[in-house]
Amino acid sequence: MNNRLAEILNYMPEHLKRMLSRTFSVTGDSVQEIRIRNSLPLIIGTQNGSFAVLPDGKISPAVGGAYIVETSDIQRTFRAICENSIYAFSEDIRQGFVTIRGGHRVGITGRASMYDGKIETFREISSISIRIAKEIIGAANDIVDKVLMPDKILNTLIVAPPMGGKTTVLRDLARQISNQGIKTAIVDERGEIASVFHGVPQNNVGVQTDVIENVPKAEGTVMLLRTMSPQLIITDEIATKADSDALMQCFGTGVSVVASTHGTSAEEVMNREFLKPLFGGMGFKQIIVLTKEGKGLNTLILGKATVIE
Amino acid sequence: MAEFQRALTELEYSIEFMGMTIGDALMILAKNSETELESVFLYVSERLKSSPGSDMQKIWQRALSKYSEGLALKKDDVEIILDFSKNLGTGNREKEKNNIKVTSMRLRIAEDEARAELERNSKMYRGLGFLSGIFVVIVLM
Repeated sequence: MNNRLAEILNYMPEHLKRMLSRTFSVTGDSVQEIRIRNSLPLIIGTQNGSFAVLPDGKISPAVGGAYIVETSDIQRTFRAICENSIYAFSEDIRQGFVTIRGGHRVGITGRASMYDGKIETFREISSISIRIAKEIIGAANDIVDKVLMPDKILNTLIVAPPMGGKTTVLRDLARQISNQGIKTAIVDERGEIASVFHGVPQNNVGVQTDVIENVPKAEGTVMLLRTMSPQLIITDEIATKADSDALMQCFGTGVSVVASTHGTSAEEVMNREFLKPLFGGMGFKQIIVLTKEGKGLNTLILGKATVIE
Repeated sequence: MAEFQRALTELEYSIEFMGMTIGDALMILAKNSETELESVFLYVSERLKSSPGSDMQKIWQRALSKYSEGLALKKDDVEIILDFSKNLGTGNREKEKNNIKVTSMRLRIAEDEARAELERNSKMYRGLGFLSGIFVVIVLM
């Protein structure tokens, strides 16, 4: 079992840890996610599909005989991913997920307790999904030449469905461009791209890269523009109007921008209301839609570029 | 116990104003502490960091029994600290503050009781001493 998986198991109660470490010793690196749902079978998602985990750690495509998650399992895991300090993660919980050490993203759903019109915490948690972050050096090989021109960096929006490799590509793009001597700044709102831990990026994002983490995009981009004089700003998941407004502030300042958003095609993204102002003029010059080819360690991420007139 | 009370105040500050995690806050407390509590805080902090999935109360229990000799804790104190650890880190800032306040109050009450008990005992022994003195005198007469 690799270190990344072992790291994740530390966030689980002892019996789940034992069970899943047996599972992972068989599945190895193919695990992509772990789904823990209250009173339902424990499920892992791999490159070959979903499997139920049996009490002895073996996996089965059918859910019969699977380990049934107990309420205390889910509560303990929730506390652990919040580093046993739920108050310190209220902002993340409000967004519905927490990023843990190593950059893995943990989604949380359940019955929220509201205060002042905002989610304060989840009183009863029904599901936790842990998505295993993967650092793939070279993931952006097919994309980097489309973004980095001999004399400039094209403002680019990277598009892919969830789990489509957006973050992986952004991370490797940062590494490749930065290592060519271009001052790169990453606004890592959820700490997924660089995953800074105690001041050191856990992932390789290049030698000329500055990272600002856990800051809303709007504030993060303005701070970076003002303080670090970057040539390129990289950020992921443009998902709201506020995110798109943050990018508008960068366009026209001479800094190039590479960002990502959920989607399946260039047309679909261009018709999304809050993204519309970002295209044309000083904004995005191209959209690159990612597709995956092959399986496991041989997965290739390919990018199809659509130039915006 | 006075040392623990002081630590609680510091912990409250770390949680409320710095938004630190319990693990980080305890690490700082350990650095600032000069008593046996240092080992307890360090132990809990390290355990929380290395295996956050472990049960918080159990970690404290282990820490207290491991370093019990140097701590000279009474049974009541141990119970109060374990109750405190059970709720630690489980709520929002308000709840954490409350937990610290309640614990602090319980510790003070326990301390007052212990002092009262001590006084009662010393009075009793003084009384006993006096009576046995009289008894000796009577016997001698």
